[in-house]
Amino acid sequence: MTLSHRLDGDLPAEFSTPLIDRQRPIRFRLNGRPLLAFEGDSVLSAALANGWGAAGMADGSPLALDPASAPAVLVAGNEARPDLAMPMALCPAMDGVSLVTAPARRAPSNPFARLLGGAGSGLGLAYGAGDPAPGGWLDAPASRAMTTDMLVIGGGVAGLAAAEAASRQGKRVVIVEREAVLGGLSPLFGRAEGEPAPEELIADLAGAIGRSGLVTLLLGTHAFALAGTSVRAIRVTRAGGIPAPEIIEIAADGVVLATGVEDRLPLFAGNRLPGVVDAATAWRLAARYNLWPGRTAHIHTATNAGYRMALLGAASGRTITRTSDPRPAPQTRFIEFCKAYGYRLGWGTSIAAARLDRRRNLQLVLADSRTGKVQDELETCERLVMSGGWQPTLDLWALAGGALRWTAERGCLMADGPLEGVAVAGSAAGYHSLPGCRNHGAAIAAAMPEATHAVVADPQIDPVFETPDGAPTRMAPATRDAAPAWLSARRAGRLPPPEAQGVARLFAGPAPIRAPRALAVTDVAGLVIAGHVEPAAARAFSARHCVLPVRLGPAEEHPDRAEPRPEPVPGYLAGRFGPQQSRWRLAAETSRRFTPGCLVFVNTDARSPLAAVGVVLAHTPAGIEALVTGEGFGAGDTLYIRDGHVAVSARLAERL
Amino acid sequence: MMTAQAKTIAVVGSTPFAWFLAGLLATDHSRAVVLVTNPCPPGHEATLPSLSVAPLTRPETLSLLVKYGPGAARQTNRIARGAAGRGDLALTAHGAASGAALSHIRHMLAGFGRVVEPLGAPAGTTRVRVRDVWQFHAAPFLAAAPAWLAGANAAMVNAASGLKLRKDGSASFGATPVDLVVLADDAAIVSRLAEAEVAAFAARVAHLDIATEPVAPLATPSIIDLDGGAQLAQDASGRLIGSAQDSDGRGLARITAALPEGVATRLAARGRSTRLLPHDGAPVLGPTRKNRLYVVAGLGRCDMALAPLVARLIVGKATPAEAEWAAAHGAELRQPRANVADFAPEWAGAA
Repeated sequence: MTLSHRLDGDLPAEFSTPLIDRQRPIRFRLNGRPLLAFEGDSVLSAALANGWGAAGMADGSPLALDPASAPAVLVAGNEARPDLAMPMALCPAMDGVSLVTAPARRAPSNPFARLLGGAGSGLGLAYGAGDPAPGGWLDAPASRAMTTDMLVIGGGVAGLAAAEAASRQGKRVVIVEREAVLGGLSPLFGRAEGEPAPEELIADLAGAIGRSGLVTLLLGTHAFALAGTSVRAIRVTRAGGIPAPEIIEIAADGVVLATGVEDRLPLFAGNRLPGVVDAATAWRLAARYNLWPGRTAHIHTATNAGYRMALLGAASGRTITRTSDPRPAPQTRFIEFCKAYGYRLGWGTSIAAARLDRRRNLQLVLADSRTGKVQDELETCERLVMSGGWQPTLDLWALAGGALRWTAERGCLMADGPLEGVAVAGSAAGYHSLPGCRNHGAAIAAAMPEATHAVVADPQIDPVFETPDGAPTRMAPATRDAAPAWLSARRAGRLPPPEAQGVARLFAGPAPIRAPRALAVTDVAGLVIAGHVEPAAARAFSARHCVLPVRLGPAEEHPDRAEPRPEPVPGYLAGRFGPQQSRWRLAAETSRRFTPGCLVFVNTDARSPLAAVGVVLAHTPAGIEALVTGEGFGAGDTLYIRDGHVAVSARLAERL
Repeated sequence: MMTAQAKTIAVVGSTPFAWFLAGLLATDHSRAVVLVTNPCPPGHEATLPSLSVAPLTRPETLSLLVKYGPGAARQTNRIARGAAGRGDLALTAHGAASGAALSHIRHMLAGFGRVVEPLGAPAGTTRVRVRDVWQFHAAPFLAAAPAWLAGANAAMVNAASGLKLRKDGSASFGATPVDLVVLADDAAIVSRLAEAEVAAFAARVAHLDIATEPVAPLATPSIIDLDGGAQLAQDASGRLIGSAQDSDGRGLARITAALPEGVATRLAARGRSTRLLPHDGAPVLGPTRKNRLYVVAGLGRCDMALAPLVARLIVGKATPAEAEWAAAHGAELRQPRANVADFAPEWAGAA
């Protein structure tokens, strides 16, 4: 294990209670390669701690290993059982276990690729547009069912407040939280004057719901589907010394989505290279696993909270080479602390591109955010932590059929309109402040299930002192050989590179606009920011593309298999040969079997269906049954049944 | 007013068929045309291509497809290169009734000279392949059609614009009179006709439309399942575009059941719509009884191939046989129209 990836020594309070137990080292294997970890690590955190910064290659460029790119994992030997796949970030690292990634498509053996993103520094997988493939848990049947009065998704401040308020009403509550601890991202946003510290509020709320005896906590549990008011979730249990997935179906009278926010990806070439990480992920890795790969970091932030990552990194012994901010003159209390640390601050500065040098350090090309003019000086660092703005996490809302609306002033998609039995609370509903999130969660819970909407005050610091978070940024790749400028962490698409010139135009295919797969809400936000989707069309577009990517395969049973016996004369033959048409039994001196639909003619030359005087309905052991026009024919007359190129004479034997 | 006398025609509809019909009326028949349409909705690229062949049992309708399909394909290719191409169509039946219908359809298509071959299928399933069917792709056509329409002086106006309708089928845009209004897609019919009027000839059926992640090339790029009417087509990127009636919430199961053996993929996009399904499965076209709006419904995926015929019917240039076919399929007739009833696989699931 590369110890330099872990923080040590005196750490800030936020990073001083990690999930890992450094006194209990463990050893396990992933794709046959040994990994050292600590008890409490996830497979993903262990891989990152061992220096596996790259997931593999995507579109010819190394791709960072993080929760968005991490493939599902299986216990070795279960490769043929996709239903036993587990999310890499949820699967605990367990001593002695051997795991494999799914799918295990390896990147082609290429020394340059290995150098930048191959097996030497990561998983070495080859990523297509649809990778990582959705986990098999999407299609697996639930192994456990639960019912409750209120289901709260998200154990942050809003979710805890909702649960606490509901429990005070005597309701049974289940909280589903993806992380192994409560609190969410609220500590990252820091404390504002006159507000309680997030950690204190979380502890108070957690204590209250614990005392109620009505709240069930499902930590380390990922809710991946919501239909009506029924949620499907996965967590990973430790069974017999190996990890195993458990699919839980939870039905509730009402669902509160307190799912928080996630980072919006700044769009520039190389925004998903190994070493590039969003602020929320970076904070979680540091707080939960004391992970901070690299000794030097550049912090690029369009949000005030992003500056806290600079402060926390410096306080943890990392060297912050510079902070940059696309806003021209941002004001926040955190900047003053940064000044005290003596970082270089670059305001009105965007990142034009990032690339990897031979030593796998990041080289950042900076540009004036207003003019786009590129600065001559390259910034070199081991890690780039970015905070591009916040997108409410609304995937479950969208999956349940909730509408989304693009809000230009916030630069994100927001929940719009009602959804029966489902409410959005806290920062997922657009609230910023800690009291706002807390009070909104409580108000929503009090209003449910009769109402799914509530409005509370959201006190904000005056913009003079706290500049609002910046608008989305977009810097198109300047060269065709630049790393992709992905539109979202899940790579929903990419900004097109410059058009090829000269002979290269003959070989340059069209740049892919969008990944051909189901999209997450952050993907749609990226497509809007990139201009691929009109803001006004975002509602309809997200309704169509934000779907659960369930597996579609040939069905065992057809839902509409028709009745075993067709009607004697189907409706589609009514009046076909005139109003007097009738059923006849035909006698033909042949062993040929005629199938329904063979046309009957008056001579052997006729072929056109328009000239047919009858049609075979069935050929049973009793004879040939046909529908024949009633005009001009009688028993004993000879007609001709055509079957392909053959015409066989047949006698009208008996009218049925 | 006889539709043939109409000099100024408003075509209301947002489908490729509506656009094609409007353009044909303007270019081939020299009518002054206003196309009342919605902006191209997002995700419109994931639309099943129209076809020059359908699982029909009435020779009169099939003969019209044989007559007009190739010409329609040539014309759309002139408008947008690659908008029409040839591909095979697989028709599948799982039950006895649908199997009998498929057998009728197979002989009918062969009688009109189509190459129809049996395909391997699991026990209890019958499958045939129809060779070289014209497929009309929506995306390239819709991309190129505005320029074509503009060249023909056909005005395109937003559906939200004020189109005032009169009972005689005429209308006006502000001070501009329109002699005839053609309701050329289901949404236009539903929004402009009274519910009872629509119910006289068709049922509103909920539909599910999907797109999947790309899969390896299918042996036949288009598939129609005669049990429930699910339809699939593979587009140029390898995605499968699917559609099935979903009034009972089993639309996805219908589409899944239509997948060929060995093909597995994942859902990538999903949309819902309401479509009109004629009670007897046969096309409906002509003026309605209560008002004189010209409706075109139930053409299904043969709409593009039959667009030249519909244009000729509207301007009164159809042959006597075509006029007779149209009269039998008229919207003003009382149901049931027993002599034109056709096989409608969707009714198996909608019943």
